[in-house]
Amino acid sequence: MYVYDSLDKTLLNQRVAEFRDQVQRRLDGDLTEDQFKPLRLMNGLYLQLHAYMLRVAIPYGTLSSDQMRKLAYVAKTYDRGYGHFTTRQNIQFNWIELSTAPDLLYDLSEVDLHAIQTSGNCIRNVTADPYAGAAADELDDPRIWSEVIRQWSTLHPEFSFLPRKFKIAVTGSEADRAAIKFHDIGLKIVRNNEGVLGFAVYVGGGQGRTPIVAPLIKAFLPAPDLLRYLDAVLRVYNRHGRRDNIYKARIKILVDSMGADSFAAEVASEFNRLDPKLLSVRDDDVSRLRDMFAQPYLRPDPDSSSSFEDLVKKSPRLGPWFKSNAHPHKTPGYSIVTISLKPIGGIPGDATAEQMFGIADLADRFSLGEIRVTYTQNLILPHVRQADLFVLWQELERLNLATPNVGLASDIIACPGLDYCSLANARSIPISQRISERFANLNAQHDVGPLDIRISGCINACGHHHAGHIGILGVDKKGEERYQLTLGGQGNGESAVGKIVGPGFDEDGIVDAVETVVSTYLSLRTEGEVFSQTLARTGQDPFKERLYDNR
Amino acid sequence: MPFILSANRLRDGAVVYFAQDNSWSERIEDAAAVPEDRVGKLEEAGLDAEARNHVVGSYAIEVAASCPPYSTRLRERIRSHGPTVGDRQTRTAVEDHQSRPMGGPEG
Amino acid sequence: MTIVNASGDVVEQGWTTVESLEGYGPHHGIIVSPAVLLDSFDEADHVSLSHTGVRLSVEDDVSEIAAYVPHLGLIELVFAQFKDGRPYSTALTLRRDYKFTHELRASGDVLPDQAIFLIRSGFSSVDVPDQFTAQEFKKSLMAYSVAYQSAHDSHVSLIDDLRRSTPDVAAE
Repeated sequence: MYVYDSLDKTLLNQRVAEFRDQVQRRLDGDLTEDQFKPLRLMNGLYLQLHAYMLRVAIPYGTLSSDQMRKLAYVAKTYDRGYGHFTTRQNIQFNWIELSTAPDLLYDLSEVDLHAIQTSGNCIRNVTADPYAGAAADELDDPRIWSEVIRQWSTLHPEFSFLPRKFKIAVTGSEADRAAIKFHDIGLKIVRNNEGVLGFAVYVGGGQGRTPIVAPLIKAFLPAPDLLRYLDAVLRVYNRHGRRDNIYKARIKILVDSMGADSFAAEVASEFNRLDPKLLSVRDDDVSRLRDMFAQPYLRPDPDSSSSFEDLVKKSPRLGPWFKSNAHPHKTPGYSIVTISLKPIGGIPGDATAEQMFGIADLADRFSLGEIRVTYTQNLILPHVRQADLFVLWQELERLNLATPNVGLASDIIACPGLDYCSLANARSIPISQRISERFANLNAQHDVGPLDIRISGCINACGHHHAGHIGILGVDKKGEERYQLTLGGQGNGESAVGKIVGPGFDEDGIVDAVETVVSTYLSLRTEGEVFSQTLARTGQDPFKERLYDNR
Repeated sequence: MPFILSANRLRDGAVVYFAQDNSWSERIEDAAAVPEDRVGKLEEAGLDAEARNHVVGSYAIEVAASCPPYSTRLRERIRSHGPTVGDRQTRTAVEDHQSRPMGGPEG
Repeated sequence: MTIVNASGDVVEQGWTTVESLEGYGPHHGIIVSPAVLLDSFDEADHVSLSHTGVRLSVEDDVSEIAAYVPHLGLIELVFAQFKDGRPYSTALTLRRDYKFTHELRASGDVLPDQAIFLIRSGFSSVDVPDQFTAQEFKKSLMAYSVAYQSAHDSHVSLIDDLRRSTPDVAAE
């Protein structure tokens, strides 16, 4: 993992001191709320319905066990004993006081954690493939490049007051586990015909009111030119992005209105004006980062996997968990294990302080002290020896963290919704809980197969509903919560925006509707066909008939 | 229908209501309800408290004339009573495990 | 009106903002609009231009006064709103693409907390808004002794700059 050096630590300490001063000036009345708001937002502090909410950055979704322990400590000390992992690989605390937030940030800084740029119209915390460094299909470790971007974008003098927020995601694998095409900039690590390492650059994706799958702006950008190119993209955006309408201020609107080609041309012209020496990423610096992220050697252990397979046969409950929650590691005999934060009927992404302490200990015992956060609101232990899987599973069960549902119907993505969020129009969490309970039978979930249900409580789409196989959007209709249903989105691997099927439903109706969609799929599917394939084959019509004909 | 005034307290963000005695209370029961023609005065009190950096984002809410005041807006009911999903995970991980063995129906 | 330099120290205000040239000859240290600059000044008259400043709003296009830029004594970029960050990019462009080396001033709606961003983007002075003090700007400039990015005119790679030296934050 990346290790903070004196420069990182100095900057972080100075940031904490600066924010302490800003909070004091606000409490003393030297800053108005209007002046203070952008400053607190750049430190991840929102004012929500019930209290302040602090969003802590988890850079590219990577946490050490000590960092996880500190998050657990924060949950216990400053919050009400729990935290909420978000769709941006971050964690949010819901019950924070302004007056003690500087102490909280000081505590976090002791383990190199912070809330810098987790909000505000700046370059947000960069996200990456949670399997980084462990996936077999990886060309290069996206954390190396994410860290380069983290440093470049932190307190960037020119790009801290952009037209709107700006999100960058990086993947090093063919299988996209970071939903890069739904980001302002999506970077996919590629090699060109000569074998040179670089990036395919997608710009202008996003969700919200106008969901767009990002177009390819540059098919091959040599790796050393990364920052020079990002600099050019951001400058074009800062100059030309709309500031008159908050709903049209994201870069996706600019790219869409200019057209991808002319946008790319404008970026190229800005890129060419930039001195190559100024921002080039040097090989020796990259290799230094590469060394930091290199995992300790794992001895291949193929025997471990075969003995584990025997165990799976003997233990009927272990089998489904292994099938849905474990993924092959690049080293034979090891697994990438997903810890489900989606217990049946639970709050998606929530973890108690006790669970976080427990996960930290398990990471130390079984995964080289490393933990990852996924944008689907689960956690990952990236390097688990298969011989240890049985013990790990037992420990996770004890913590209520072994629900065998990753990628299945009850692995629901949900934003905090109207229960917490001041922007929301409708509740998300209770809907996700009721759907989860409706599909409580885990054998049935395994039979249904891969199914991605996503819920947002407003059009800002933090619950990524546009990209769910089944997407649910909560709206306010004359004071009543209503839920729109979309089908056909793709957020894992492929990227596609779902389409609304028809009129919305009330709270009871939407839960029934999801069940109707699933039973329709089951009646239509052919051998081996998963939900998204059936829907692609049949289109929405048979689903619409079942959903609306009996009304 | 009468109106009450609400805001979030600056130092901790808590939901507060403007009370009869000109203080700010965390209890909606304490909120001073005024008829529509006095909403302007109520809002002035909010702006004054904002200027004194006591609260932020004050606004008037239309409520039913009941005790405690009842808003027809779900958002306001959640603000006054907390999240509908509970304000914390009341079940600890261990309790939850005991009350509902994992593995569900096949377990 | 209080002007602070890149170190946050108060400096003598040697410039006067004027709406038209009436009553002002050359060599007076005046700041004019781009329209007045284009109408009344000769781009080849480098001597007069060195005593002249131009004041640009966020909507003004620098390229329209391109021929004048290198010779102007001062350019003032007016922030319409502190949240509107366009002048940061304009400042970078003036320094880097137009090789503008004279006083580059930020005015309008700027916060002390933005001082470090302003100076690192290439501004060399700030017109302190009435509700703030020069001291607040100076304090904010002192908040950080390190930065991840090279300053606007240091020609070293980011990571190189980052890890092998500690950049002088207040340096241009």
